[in-house]
Amino acid sequence: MAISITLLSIIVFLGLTAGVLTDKEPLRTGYAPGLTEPSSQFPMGTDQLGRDIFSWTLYGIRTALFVGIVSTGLTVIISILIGLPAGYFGGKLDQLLMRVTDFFLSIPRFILIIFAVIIFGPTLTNIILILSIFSWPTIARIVRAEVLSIKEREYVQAAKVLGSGNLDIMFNEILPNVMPPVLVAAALQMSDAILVEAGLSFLGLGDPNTASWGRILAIARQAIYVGGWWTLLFPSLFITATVLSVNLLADGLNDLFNPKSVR
Amino acid sequence: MRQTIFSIQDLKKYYLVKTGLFKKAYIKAVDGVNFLIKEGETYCVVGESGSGKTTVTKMLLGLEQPTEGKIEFLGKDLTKILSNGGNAKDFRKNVQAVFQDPFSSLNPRKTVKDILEKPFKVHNAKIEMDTIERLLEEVGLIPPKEFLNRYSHQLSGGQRQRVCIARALALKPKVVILDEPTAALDVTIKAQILNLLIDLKEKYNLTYIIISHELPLLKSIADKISVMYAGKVVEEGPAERIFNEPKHPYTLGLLESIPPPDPKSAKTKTLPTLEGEPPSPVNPPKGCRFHPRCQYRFDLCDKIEPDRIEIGSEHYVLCHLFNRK
Amino acid sequence: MENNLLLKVEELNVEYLLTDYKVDAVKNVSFYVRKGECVALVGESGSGKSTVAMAIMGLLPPYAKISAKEILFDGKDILKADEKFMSEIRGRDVTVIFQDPISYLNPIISVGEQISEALKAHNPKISDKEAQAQAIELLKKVRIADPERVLKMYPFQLSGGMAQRVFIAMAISANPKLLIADEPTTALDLTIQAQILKLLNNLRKEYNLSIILITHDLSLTSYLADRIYVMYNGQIVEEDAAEGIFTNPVHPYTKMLITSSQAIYQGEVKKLKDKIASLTEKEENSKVGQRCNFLGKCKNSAQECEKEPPLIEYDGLKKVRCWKL
Repeated sequence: MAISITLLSIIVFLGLTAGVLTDKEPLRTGYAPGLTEPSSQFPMGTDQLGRDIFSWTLYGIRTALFVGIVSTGLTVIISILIGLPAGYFGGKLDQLLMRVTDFFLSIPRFILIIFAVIIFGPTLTNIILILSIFSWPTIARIVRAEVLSIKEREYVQAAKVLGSGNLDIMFNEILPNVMPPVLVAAALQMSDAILVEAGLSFLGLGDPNTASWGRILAIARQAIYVGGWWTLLFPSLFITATVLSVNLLADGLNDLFNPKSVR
Repeated sequence: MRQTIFSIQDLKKYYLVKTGLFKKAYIKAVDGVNFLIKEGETYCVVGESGSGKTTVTKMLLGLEQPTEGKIEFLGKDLTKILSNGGNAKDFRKNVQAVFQDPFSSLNPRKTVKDILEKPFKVHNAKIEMDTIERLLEEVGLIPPKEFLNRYSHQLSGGQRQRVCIARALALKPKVVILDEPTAALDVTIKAQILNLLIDLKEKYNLTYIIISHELPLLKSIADKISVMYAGKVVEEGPAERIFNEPKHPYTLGLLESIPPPDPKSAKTKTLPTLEGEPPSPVNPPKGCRFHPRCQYRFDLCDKIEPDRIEIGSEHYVLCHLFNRK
Repeated sequence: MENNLLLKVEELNVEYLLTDYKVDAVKNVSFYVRKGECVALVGESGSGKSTVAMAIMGLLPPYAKISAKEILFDGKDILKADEKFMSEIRGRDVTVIFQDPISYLNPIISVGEQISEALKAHNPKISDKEAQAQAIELLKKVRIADPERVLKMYPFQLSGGMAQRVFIAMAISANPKLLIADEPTTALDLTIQAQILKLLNNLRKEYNLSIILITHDLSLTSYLADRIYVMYNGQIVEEDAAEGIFTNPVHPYTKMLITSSQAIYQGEVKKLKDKIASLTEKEENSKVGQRCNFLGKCKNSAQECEKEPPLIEYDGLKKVRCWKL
């Protein structure tokens, strides 16, 4: 937990202070005549078009975290809106919502995301929306399963006996107790979203106006043949570090919410 | 004449279950029971697990719909009261409940204050700190200020149950339904909670419906007792008659199974036991449901279901032994 | 050493070392069990009674620190024994039955196979057929009516009472000398509880089995126990023959227990209200070791109670941990 939070804070700090740490713009060409090795002027080198990899990588943090956080937030909201009533009311509504969920779970997600981005256009907003729309089923199932167990607890019965309405019970009594496992799943979802965004950019389907790690890697695909190892190394390091720290955070949250697993 | 609070006629609750891939069967959880619960009474329903007593509670609280039969609250049909246009709020205000497991009956993410404010919020009543503190005092959580900001895991089992009782009393109900109110507590705490319940009842002229498997506990508090077995009420009567002159063989066996807190009397009489186990509610035995375990059974018992027979004032029994006129 | 002594525990201490604090679960507990004797450890939840049993079985989690002067079982010091020796004794000479047997049975293996496995563990030479035959015999011993059918069943198909019988059958499969029964009937209904108590009593006579009965329900001990140790907050506060505990309780906590149990049994909770009301609940984090554990709840406390009382002989018959004798 401590490691993940430290690592994540460093990454967030670098992302937020990108404007101070470098005076170069992330996507501007022509800082250098061509592919340039790392030097004091370009700590991470440049690409073939003379774009500064250091600035690109730092601004890439912002993109990655923005996509990760916003799309995960949306995913969690959709999951709750689907899973909570499905679990709480059960019956036909549950059947319907869960069949929809099964449908979304049974389609090849990444391919569908690619199609959707091609159809609706590769803007950051679209990518975030599309990611959320195709990512909620797993978490919705977690929410539903938790609700099924929690709605049988006596404090929920007690609330019914007091005369509380369904909305009140769902959101005030049940939801807070559903959140711990959902937060763990959400952290994992966030690292997944970061990877998918990088993947899209790598395939040339990212937003062309934002700095994304995936796009540097797409450039690295060619640069690596003429010795431009820095184009591959630095963004990869940042992707790995970010995803790893978020995953470790999920693990940490899990331990925190299930104190029984403490040795 | 005291007012009738609940009148329950021929109440049934069947659950459909899958017993195989394509097979279905009905669990007859409650299979035709009658109760008449009067104002100010402590009415107890006794039975072992699977006897259907908890299902009865859930139906009385409107948490489950009866398959058949009728529940009337103050002369009005409960299904109508709880449907749209009925007066559900009023029913909720008047009928409150305390559940068995004090670990799960309080929301782990709420403080005692949150929990006790809830009833007022739900019924749009004004919340005054005074009222909440007085409630805590009432149930013996003194000084109340010390408990207001605690979460349920910071309370002992007995204290949790006291908070549950306070929550049930917040809206000044007529009826409190108590589902195994002391089953999860240590003996010394059981006695205290029981005393608290007795005091509160006298103070507020409450009607109690207590559902329990702990027969000895009821001796101190019950006015009337219904003994349930496999979905049926096998004996009903005033508490002192049930304890002193039990008629149904099952009631007899149940009473004899209570271990006396005295080794002398326990060891001199050989351990009395009712052999066997309660039947499956899916496939109850033909005739009287108790006959496989009954030592008094005769040729009628496995063929014909016994009727409810009155054997004394307000004392009924479901047994062929008492029908040989 | 007395000839018919089976188990002797001297000054047992158990500490739970948790992440940021430690808990003294068992403090200086000494007791003994004779051959064929039933000894009861009685106390409320958290009194350390189960920890004592688990310490003897060597089944405590790794964060528990055990220390004792000696734990002699059948003349051998099991405190110093290695794990190999312990696993030989465990299940063969000492067995344990729990409150919720179903969760200790493997859900995907049939009852028959589980019993056969238990049999083979201590006698690897027997064939499947013999094991099957012995399993049927065992089930008959625990009074299961149709053993052949039950052998084919899976744990989830068993009722609570049946599961406990199966568990007992496995426990006695290797002719143990000592059976530790940890709340064996707490989850069971009254009539089933009486059946299991009767079964334990019969087995005890048949096998000359020693039993340690661990329970929070004092009245349960009245059928079985020869001697009783009353535990409070990790310590033994009173020990005596069963009758002595019931008829002449001396320690204020024992008095509380007896008063409550008898009041409930006799239905006189209301009459004994003042007596019961003085019984307050267990304090959290009460300081163990510096003063009397029971201080703060005791009406009769005095200056010297600020120091921890030793277990003092009283009346030549019993031992009590109290200054005010």
